Amino acid sequence: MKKMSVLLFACAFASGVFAAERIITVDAGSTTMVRALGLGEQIIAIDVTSQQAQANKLPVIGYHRQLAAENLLALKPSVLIGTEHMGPEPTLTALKQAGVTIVSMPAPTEGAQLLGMIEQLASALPEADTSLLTAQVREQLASIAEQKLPPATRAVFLFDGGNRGLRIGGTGTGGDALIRLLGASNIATTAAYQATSLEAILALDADLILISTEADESLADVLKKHPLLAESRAAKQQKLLPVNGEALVAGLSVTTLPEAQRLLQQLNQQDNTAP
Amino acid sequence: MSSRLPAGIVGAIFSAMLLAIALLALTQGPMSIDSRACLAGLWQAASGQDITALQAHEQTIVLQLRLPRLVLAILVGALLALAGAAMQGLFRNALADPGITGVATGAALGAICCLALAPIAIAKWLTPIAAFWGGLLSTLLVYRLARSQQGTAIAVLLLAGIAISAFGGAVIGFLSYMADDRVLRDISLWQMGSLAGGNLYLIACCVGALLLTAYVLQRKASCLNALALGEAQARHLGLDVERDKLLLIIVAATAVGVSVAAAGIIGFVGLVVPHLVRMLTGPNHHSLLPLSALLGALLLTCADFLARYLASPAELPVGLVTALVGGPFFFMLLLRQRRHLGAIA
Repeated sequence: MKKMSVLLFACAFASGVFAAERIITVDAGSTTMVRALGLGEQIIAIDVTSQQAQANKLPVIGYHRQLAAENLLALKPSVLIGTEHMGPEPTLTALKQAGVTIVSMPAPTEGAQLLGMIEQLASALPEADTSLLTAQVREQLASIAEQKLPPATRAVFLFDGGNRGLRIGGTGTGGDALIRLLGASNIATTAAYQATSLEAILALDADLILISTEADESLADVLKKHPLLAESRAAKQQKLLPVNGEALVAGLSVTTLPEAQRLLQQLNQQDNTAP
Repeated sequence: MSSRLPAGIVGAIFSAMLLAIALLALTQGPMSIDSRACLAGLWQAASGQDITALQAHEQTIVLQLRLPRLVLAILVGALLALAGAAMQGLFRNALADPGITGVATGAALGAICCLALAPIAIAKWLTPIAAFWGGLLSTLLVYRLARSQQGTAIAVLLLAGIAISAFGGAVIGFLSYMADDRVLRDISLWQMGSLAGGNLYLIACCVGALLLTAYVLQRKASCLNALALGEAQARHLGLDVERDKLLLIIVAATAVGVSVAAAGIIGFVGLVVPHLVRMLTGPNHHSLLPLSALLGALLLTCADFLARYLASPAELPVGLVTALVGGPFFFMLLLRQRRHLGAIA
C-alpha cells in the first residue's frame, strides 16, 4: 500500500505539478517568444498577425488595438501578452480586474532587447524555465557580434509583397532591424515599408540585398520572379540573399537570430573563397 | 395604400422592441453574467446602493463596455435615420442616403487625415473632431457650389456631392497608399464603423446632436411635407424654400457628422429605415421622423448585437453587418421602385 502511494505521488510529479497557464498572445513577437520558451501548448488564442499553430487551429481574437474584453474573458485566460499598443483601455481595465496578468513588451529594435523581453516574461510566468532560452539567445548574439559585417556595407531589405510588388524596409521595420543586427547600414532612410520599383532598387546600388521569401524558396526562385534583380551589382557579387520571411514576420524576434547567423556564415564563406 | 398602420401603434411596437433588444444587449454577451445581476449592477451604479454580487470585472463589463455600446447604438441609429429621412424629403427621392451631400466622405477625409498624419496619442481624441468638421465643411462646400442666383438646384447639389466624394476618395486613396501598416489598419477599421469607442464625451455630443436634430426636424415636418409637392408648389404655399433647404442640409450634416465622428462610417441605416417606415405608416413627416428615429435605433442595436457574435472571439465592425443586410435590401427596393423613379427634380 505504501509503495502504491509513493508510486502515485511520483506519477503526479512526473506529469507536471505546475498548473498550466492559459496564455493569449496578442502580437506575433509575443507568440514566437512564448513558443520558443516551449510554452506553445499553453497558448489558447492568438491575434490576427501571429502564425497559426501546426496542430489544432487556435481561435483568433482580432486586431490587438481593438480587443473585445468579453470575448477574451469568455476564454478564461490567465495571462495576456502583447505590445504597448494594446487597446482599448476599458478592455485592459476589465481584464486586469478579472485577475488576468497583462504583460506589455515594447517591440525590440536591438538584439539585446530580446534578453530583456525574456526576463519580463519570466516574471509574469514564474513557472516557465527561461534559462535555456536566455543562454541560447546570448550565445547567438555573441556569435553574430563576432561575425558582423563592416558598418560601411550599404544594405537594403526587400519585402516581396506578391502582386503588390516589392517594398523597401525603412527605419522601424523588421528588415531594418535585421540589417543592423548584421552590422551593416540600411540605405533606406524613410520609415516603414515603402513601395518601390525595380528601377529605384537598381539605382540604389546596394552592396547587399536581402529579400524575404517563403520557407522553401531558393535564390533561383527569387530570380525567376524578379529577373531584373540579377542585373544589380549585389546579385553579380553573390550578395543577393534570400531571407526566410517567417523569421521576420514579428519584426525582430528569437526566430530572427538563427537566420542572421546563417546569413553571416554565408557571407563570410563567400569572402573567404573570393579571389 | 390602405395597408398603412396607425402611427401610434407602430410607435408603441417599435418602443417595446427597442426596450427588449436593449435589455438583451445588456444582459447577453460572450461572458455569461446573470441577467438580474446585470440590471442590478446598473441600478447600483445609478443609485449608489450596493445590492449585487457582481464581481468588479463583471461590473466593468456591464457599465463600461455593454452600456456605452448600447447607448451609442441607439443614438447613432436614431441620428442616421433622422438624417436619412430629412435627405429623402429634401431630394424628393426615396433612395437618397444621408451621405449624399458629401458629408460622409468629408467626415472620412477629416478622420483619415488625422489618423494618417497625427501621432497616435493625439489622433485618439482628435479624430472625432476632425471627422465632424470635415463633414460639415464638405457639406457647406457642396451647398456653396450648388447655390446660384436662381436658388439651389437639387440636381446640382447631388452632382456636387458626387464630385466632392470623388475628390475625397482620391485623397483617402493617396493617404492609404503612403501609410504604413499600422496606419493602414487603423484607416480600414475606422472606415468599417465600430460602436466600441463610446466614451462619455462622444455620447454627450451625440445626445446633444440628437436633441437638436429631432427638435428642428420635427418643427420642419410640415415644410418637408410641402417640399414633396415640388419646390414651386412649396414656395406658393408660403415657405421660404431656400432658407429651409439650407437648414435641413446643415441639420442633416450635423447629425451625420456627429455619428461618423462617434462611430465611423455606418451605411444603409439612413437609407433603409425611412423607407421601411414609409411602407408601414405613410410619408407624412410628422410621424415619419420620430418613427424613423425609433426604428433606426432598433436596427442598429440589433446589428451591433449580431456583430458581437458572428466572428467570435473577434468582433465584426458594425458597418459590415449593416452593409451585408442593407445592401441586398437596397437592391430589392431599387427593383421595386424602378417605375417610380423619374427625373430627380
